[in-house]
Amino acid sequence: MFVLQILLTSLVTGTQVLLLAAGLYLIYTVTRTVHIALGASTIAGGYAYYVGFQMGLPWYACLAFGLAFSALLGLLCYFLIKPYIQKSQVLLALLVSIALGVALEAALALVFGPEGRYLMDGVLPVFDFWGVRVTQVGLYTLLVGLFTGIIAYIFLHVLPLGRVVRAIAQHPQCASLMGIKERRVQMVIYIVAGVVAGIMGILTGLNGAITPYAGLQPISMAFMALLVGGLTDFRGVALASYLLVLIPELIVSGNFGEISFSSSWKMVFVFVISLAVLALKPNGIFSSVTRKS
Amino acid sequence: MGYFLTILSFFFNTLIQGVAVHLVLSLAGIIFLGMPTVLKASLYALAIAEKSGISPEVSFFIAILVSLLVGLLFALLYTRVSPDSFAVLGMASMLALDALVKSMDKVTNGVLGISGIVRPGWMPDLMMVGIVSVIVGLICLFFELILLQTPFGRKMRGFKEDEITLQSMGINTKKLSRFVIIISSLFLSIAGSLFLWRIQFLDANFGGVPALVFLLTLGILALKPRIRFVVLGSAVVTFLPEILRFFQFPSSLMGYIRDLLYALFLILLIHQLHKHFIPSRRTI
Repeated sequence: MFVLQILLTSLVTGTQVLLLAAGLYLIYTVTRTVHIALGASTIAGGYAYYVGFQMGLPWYACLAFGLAFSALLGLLCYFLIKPYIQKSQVLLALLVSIALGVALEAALALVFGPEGRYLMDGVLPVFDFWGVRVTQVGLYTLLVGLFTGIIAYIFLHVLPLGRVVRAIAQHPQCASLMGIKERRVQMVIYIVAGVVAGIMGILTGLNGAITPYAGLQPISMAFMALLVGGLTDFRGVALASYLLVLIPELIVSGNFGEISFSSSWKMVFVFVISLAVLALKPNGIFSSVTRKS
Repeated sequence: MGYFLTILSFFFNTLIQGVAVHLVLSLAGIIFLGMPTVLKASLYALAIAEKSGISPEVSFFIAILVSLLVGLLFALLYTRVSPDSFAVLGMASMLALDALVKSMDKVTNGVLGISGIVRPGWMPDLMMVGIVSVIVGLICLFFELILLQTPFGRKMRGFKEDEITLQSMGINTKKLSRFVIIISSLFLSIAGSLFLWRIQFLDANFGGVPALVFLLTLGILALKPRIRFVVLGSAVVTFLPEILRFFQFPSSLMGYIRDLLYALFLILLIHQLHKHFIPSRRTI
């Protein structure tokens, strides 16, 4: 039962990491940039929901406000990073994204203060499935993850826009020659990633308290998942998202005689596991060996 | 006098960090985001060594050794993974080290940090700290000035321009990049030790993303391969937060305002200077 509980908890946290990693993956696929500020956008979405909640709006209005704000933030990020995307200066785009993330976190701390904010009143409902417990928000996270996965699959593999995204990922210049408006697709992807990050932020805030600097750890986990899984292989990213949550969870919950680890060790294990995998497979877990002629 | 000495020490301390960032980012073009990790690791090495009864001078050498070791790990990583993966892993290492120092509270004192760090006997007051910072800062600057004139300095600049050309000239670029990262770690460690001896307290939250933004701002300001830009960059990042003294902000908000200021300044700098960042084709 204990192992089942760990598995379920890791499944929920892994889905949160995967949602963020999916946003990062989409952005990387169409722009080849690493968008660190998505972590701060996550928390900003949560704070936008909090503002609605404080104004006494119903939950759906708070949700709409949070998602609209996240979409707007995604758009703002795109316009700030666009000049570097156009010139393929990916490392400069990364630096701007880092600075943007720090600016956003500092602004949130200035406006709302460093203390935790709650997005709901009362006790968080918990479901008990034959001794295995999951919070209501945890269950929502799993449902959102499943729903987003299905939508993403339909979007990428069934809808015409998905083909456009795949074409840009394959060869941006060739896609432009075929009449695809690359810039517009990039902008849409930034907005979509911002909205997904906003959903994540709201779910995080409903599950506990949100603080201005709470976005850095999830985004780092999502990046590790992206690196370990392979920057261009979503199967690997999905697997890595769950494994990078599950393995540290098993280590900190395990009993190794005299040695025991607190939950604050998780990030250390995530980093060590990522380094070990990247040392053996620098291009991701499913990458195959390629030769240069 | 105290304020002047503090600013003077801070400026020369920033100058040493500036030399480290200048070497790795501006000259070699390596986006080494693990710099705060190296800095934090060496600071903890110094503080822990001192707390275990080792003399400050020997603790300093232990800190240097630790920073060289961490630098070596990053150097090995750099030659294994792609530049953007290296950048992200550098950032992630900050979080990993942060989690590590907060978890090992028996050794590191956890979130409380380490207080009561002892200065060496020949550096008893702020005046001597200031003088030593000036001397060490000038030595580091002179070292970089000499390094830039050597064939190694030219190779480093060439590495940023075109790595493949260097390889075709028979230069081992892997060895070169490793050396740059290690030497940069050494300078960071020297700056960190002087900083710690000045404030005599190690905050557990030191060396996070704000420290990274500070170092990146310094690196972007000192973008050109000239020593004067390192001095100019150090002066700007030292005196930029001093503007805030003219406004009556509550002290609890000062940290956030400073982070916001540096971050916005960095975005503005990159926007203005990005044309000079990546080498472009030009006639010589």
